Amino acid sequence: MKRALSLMGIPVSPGVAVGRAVLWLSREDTSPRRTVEPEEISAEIERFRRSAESAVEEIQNTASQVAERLGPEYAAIFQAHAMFLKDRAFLGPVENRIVQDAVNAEWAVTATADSLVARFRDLPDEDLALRGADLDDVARIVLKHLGDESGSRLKMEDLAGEALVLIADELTPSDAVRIPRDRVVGFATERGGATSHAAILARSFGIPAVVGVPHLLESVGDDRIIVDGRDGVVWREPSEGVLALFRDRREQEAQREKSLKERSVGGTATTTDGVEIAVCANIELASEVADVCEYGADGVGLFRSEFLYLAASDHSFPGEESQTAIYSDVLRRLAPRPVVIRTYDLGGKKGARQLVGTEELNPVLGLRGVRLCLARPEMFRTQLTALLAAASAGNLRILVPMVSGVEEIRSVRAMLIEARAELVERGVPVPAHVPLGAMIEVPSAAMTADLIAPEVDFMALGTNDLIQYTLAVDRANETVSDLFRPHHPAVLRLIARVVEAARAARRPLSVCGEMAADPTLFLLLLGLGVREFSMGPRTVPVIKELAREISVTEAARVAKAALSLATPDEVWALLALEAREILPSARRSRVPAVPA
Amino acid sequence: MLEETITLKNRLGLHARAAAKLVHTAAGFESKVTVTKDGDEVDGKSILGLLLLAASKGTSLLLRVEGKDEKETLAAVKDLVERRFDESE
Repeated sequence: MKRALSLMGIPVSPGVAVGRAVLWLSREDTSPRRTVEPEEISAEIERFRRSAESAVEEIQNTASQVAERLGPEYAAIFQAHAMFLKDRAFLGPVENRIVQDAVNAEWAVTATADSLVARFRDLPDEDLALRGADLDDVARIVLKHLGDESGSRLKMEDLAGEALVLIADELTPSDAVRIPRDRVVGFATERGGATSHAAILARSFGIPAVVGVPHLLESVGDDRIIVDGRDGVVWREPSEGVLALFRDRREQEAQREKSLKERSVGGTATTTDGVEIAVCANIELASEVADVCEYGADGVGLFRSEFLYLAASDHSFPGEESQTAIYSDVLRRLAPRPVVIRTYDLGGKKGARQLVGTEELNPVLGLRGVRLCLARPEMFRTQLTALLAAASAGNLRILVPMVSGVEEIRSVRAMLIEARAELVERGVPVPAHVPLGAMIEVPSAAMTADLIAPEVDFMALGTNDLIQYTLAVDRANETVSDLFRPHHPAVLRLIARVVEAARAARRPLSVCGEMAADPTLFLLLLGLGVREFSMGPRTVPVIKELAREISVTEAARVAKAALSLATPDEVWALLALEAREILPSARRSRVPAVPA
Repeated sequence: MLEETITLKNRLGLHARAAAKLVHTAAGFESKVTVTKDGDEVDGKSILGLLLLAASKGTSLLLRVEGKDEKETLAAVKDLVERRFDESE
């Protein structure tokens, strides 16, 4: 047994996973080459053809499972994979190699795939070049069916009964989908970041994951490991003491989560002084809809629709019909709960270099959000039409991101009127009134919230970006990340201003940045007058519980005091002090809080 | 044998999803289909061939169709391209 070792990485999905590490083998281990006798050649060809057929079957099964579990947008790539395996341009060369070189099918498959992958890599188009990775994936499946050990991904039969933690270089969408959820309790990858596929899927499955762990693969074999998804640590062969500690923590977390969930699902949160608080969920994948109900959220405060584009393997926008189907499905499953769908918020750092067309020096201050949409009217119009067409399936509200002033709202309203007219002409029913809201995340919008409020049906404060723009701090820039402070006096004043504008115009206002999920900051927001919050589904139960144990009067007192202070440090000191008094000890956040 | 030149109108050109749709459409007919770009000719029922053409938006492709149902085949493929492969842009 190796000695105990701990490795640091990026925590991307909370919880504690304890189990046996299983290595996800990379295709760099090439299949052995074997010479085939002349009389065996036709049998070898047969073997290859059979494997290709069962590989196609497997891929098609995966495609339907994926469509069911993650939504149709992921499944399309598997259909293309299945086509590769029926393509003579692949099958032909493999069979020729078997015959001409008298080699085994495994070698022929590997060699053919490698040469095709090389041709793809040479293509000038970045997206097409990525197809090489798809071909690799497909070749791997065929190898598996040929019974090749180096192609098989998981020798799970050897580890019957044990909880498994997957260790890999990286996880791709097709890998992650084949993970049997009943056996795997967590994963760790050597590469990847907070937005990699491994992270997204781990959160979607609700299992702990840590990514970006240097030296992971060379350090961990089939050892016992712990993956700490809260602190971002992977422990190899932990001592009994460490194991016991984590087992305890996992027990406690499970217990607490269970009872919190039960209370959350039980009903809406009302403060001790009788004020009803709405706690909704931020989601991006259609598959997270189940989480909304499971964690007792009062609705969806933010559905990040750009995910439909980012998650599609070939980076394209789904057409009107696909979008209508996805939106209707979400609305129907959650009805009568409100679902706020935010129109595409792309550009900035969200993978849309192609959309914008040129390299922007300052993408965060560039063509993004509603600006990008208004500059791409066809794409935007399709989305608006799909949203309106889906509206009758449930309780829809449309939210527009990155609004900087009233003009954008008026342009969007005009486009909605056109879209509505088109649907009416096509005979598609649309509800009489579909609320339209503005995301307040640009300082100009916060400063003119009094002008915006009367022109919208509701507003949503995007605290992550608002703080960034107001304090002129790039939250992804390590050199200034500690200057990103939600509790800065400027931020407090802006929030107070927006709350007041909403109140005066009698429009609902919600906060949907991760600031809402931090207990101490939640207290502050409540005190400033916010009554609706939206956050990751898993943090909903904690916040609902919190809301039930404090009073708005108390929170207001704290906020008023905070507003009188001159520096962020003073504000935090006050909040920390008050939180100790008011908030139950189990829920206090760790100082200082920097939202994700 | 029928021949016609078509131009790709959708933003992403002949990318994976579009190529898959083209193969799917062509496969539904008996006729042989070839697609030529700048002198490179590939089988229209081969997804790998189509992808390796790396045909982007605005590219002109020469479609050649031959067989009993060549009229219907050509019409179907042309229509798919004109419809921008049912993509939103």
